[in-house]
Amino acid sequence: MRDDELPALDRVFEHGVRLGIAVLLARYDEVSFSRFKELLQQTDGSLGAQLRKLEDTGYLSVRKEFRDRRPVTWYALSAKGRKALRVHLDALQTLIRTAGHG
Amino acid sequence: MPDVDHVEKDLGYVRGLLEKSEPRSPPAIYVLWAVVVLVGFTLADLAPRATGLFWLIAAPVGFLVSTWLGARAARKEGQVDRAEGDRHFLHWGGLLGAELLIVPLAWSGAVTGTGVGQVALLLVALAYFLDGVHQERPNLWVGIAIAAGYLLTFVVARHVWLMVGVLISAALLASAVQNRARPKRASPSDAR
Repeated sequence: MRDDELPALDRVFEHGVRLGIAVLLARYDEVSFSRFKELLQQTDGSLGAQLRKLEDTGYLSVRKEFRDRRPVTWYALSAKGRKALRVHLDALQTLIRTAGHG
Repeated sequence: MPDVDHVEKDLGYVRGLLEKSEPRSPPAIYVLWAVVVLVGFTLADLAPRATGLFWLIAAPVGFLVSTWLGARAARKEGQVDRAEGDRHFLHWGGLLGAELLIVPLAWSGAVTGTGVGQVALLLVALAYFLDGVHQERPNLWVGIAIAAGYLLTFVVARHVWLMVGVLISAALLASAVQNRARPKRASPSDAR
């Protein structure tokens, strides 16, 4: 398969942490900022930047609440984000399969 | 052409994340049932007449408290999976329903005395074992321990329910410790 025949990968998900965030949100209904930080082992600033990028692209929805008087931010994958992730993962599968066949 | 090695590395990283994030029941649920079981099974030997009433109250109350503990733990951990919560609710709610359906067996005289307890024990053993197969692996061993307790009721005459209660409580507490000890974090990220 030629390079121009390969399905296009989504640039937003080419960053591993952003891909990780999206896959976790495809698996779970909602994940909090602190849980992302624990799982992805990123600093607040770095994680915040990646989440903002996904939010700005319209792939995430954000909800804030208070628990024990502390603010908690919850993230969920939007319908747009879910579709984009599916397309990206399909493209990755095609890429790996193609590379395997040389 | 995109770098395939990098893609495979990212996919491996994501797989690791999913494994580490796998939800598990909070230890508090295991401890709750360890206490309930110990009290309930001790009553069976020391105050048999009170046993039925105890379980009629403790089982549904314990189920509701467990549901609340599970939901609270998920929110506290920062990871919500409603489908998983529904599966747990249906599985354990199904067991509660099956246990309540033993009551007509006892009332009709079809099963009497120790037999009522044995039927209840067998149902619980199966529920835990199947939960261990499909959802929470530690429960597989709890199911096996309960099945061992069920077999014990055929060979031991005195204080058998107290012994079975201790066996099951110990299995539940071991699962609580195991659940607490499992690592929560993914290994250090090598993602870009």
